[in-house]
Amino acid sequence: MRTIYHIAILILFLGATAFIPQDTSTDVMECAEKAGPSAIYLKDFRVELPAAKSGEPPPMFRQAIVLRGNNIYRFNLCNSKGEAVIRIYDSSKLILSSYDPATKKESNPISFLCRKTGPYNIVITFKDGKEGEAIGIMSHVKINESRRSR
Amino acid sequence: MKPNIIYVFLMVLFLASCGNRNNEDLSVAYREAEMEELLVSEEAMNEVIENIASPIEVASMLNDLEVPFSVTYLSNPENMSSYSTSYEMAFNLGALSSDLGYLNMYNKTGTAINYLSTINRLTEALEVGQFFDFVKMKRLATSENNLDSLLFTSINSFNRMDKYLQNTDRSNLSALMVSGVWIEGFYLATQVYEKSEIEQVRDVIGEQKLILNDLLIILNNYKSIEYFQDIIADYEKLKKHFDNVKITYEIDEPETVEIDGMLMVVQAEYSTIEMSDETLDSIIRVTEEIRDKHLNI
Repeated sequence: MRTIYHIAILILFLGATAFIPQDTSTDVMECAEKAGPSAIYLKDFRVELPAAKSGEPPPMFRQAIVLRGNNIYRFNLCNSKGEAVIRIYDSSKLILSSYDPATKKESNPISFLCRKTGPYNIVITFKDGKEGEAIGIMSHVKINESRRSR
Repeated sequence: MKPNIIYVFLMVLFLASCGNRNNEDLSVAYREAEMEELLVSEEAMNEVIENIASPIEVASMLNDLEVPFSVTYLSNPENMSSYSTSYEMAFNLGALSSDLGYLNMYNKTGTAINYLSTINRLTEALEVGQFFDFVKMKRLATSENNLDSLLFTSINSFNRMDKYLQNTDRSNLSALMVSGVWIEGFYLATQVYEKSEIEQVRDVIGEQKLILNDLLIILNNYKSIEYFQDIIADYEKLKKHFDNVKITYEIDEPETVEIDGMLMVVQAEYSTIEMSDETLDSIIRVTEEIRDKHLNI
């Protein structure tokens, strides 16, 4: 009887914890701090993707987002598994990538001086189509401060 | 002894269920370069578009342009205590978030506390209070040298509330929150232009034609709801004035520059905005009218 009572208490505890909202902002804040000077956090993208299946393109995270002209945006990634790559598309045209496959150069963070207000697509994938987990951060960079830091 | 064993067994089971999935390496060889040619279909444009209105971007731009702060641009949180429907509350929550962004951007954290209290009341009423840590925000606002943390916490709270509303089948409230952020941020830009006539602010006003179109697409998803009909009618009225704004583009290839060891892609695609003084004036008047009507001013 006592055993059943203990099990019931434990199940109730575990059930209750499942409904407590988890504070996920700490790791986002830590990642946002890595965006560098004069960057103000705007959005975060939590990405968890499975490995690519044979013969299929790699899974991707995609988000349509509005960017405003004459603003500098900065994108940075914090990986917890795999190596994420962020790309920005204007419609289907690639305009920015945090990884250059030709030179194998990584640019994290990477900034974008937007000149045209409108919707853009943010795409995050993992290198070699591997399984991965990462946080992507989009920040707003103050142009004057950016100039001052040069 | 027996209960202890059962406890251990259940704990192991619980912890195992919290772990990551099997790390099956199904990776396949593919050329990373292929991603360069990746086609992002147009259907993406029909999905939820993020960042239509941000509680911070207009304020950040004004601060960057060294436009002086003025409390007269802000709404009065006292007027927002009497709202009874969740629609009204969501719209006002958005507007207040925009005001809070402006106050924080200019480090007017003392005034921000009045806004925090009303925001807290609205988030509780909308059942998103778990994402708004009032005590922490108040502490950050009253202590010195915490501006970065305050900015992060307020924007992150807004994002989490917005996401939660979308994930709990209350996208209609999310749409209203974004509409509130937009009108208040836009009103701020129009008021600043009236006083300063800064050319860059004028362009920001003209470019809102594009944002308003996207916003109306979202709002029209809920046009069967009476409250939305009123908002849509007002925003459509504003859109009519924007019809006289002409935006043209010059297309060129982006450049890449390196600044302090950090890569920056510079878009070479320019937009030019043609807007007469009469059109601008009518946009400013109608914006003020709509904003005052919905924020009870």
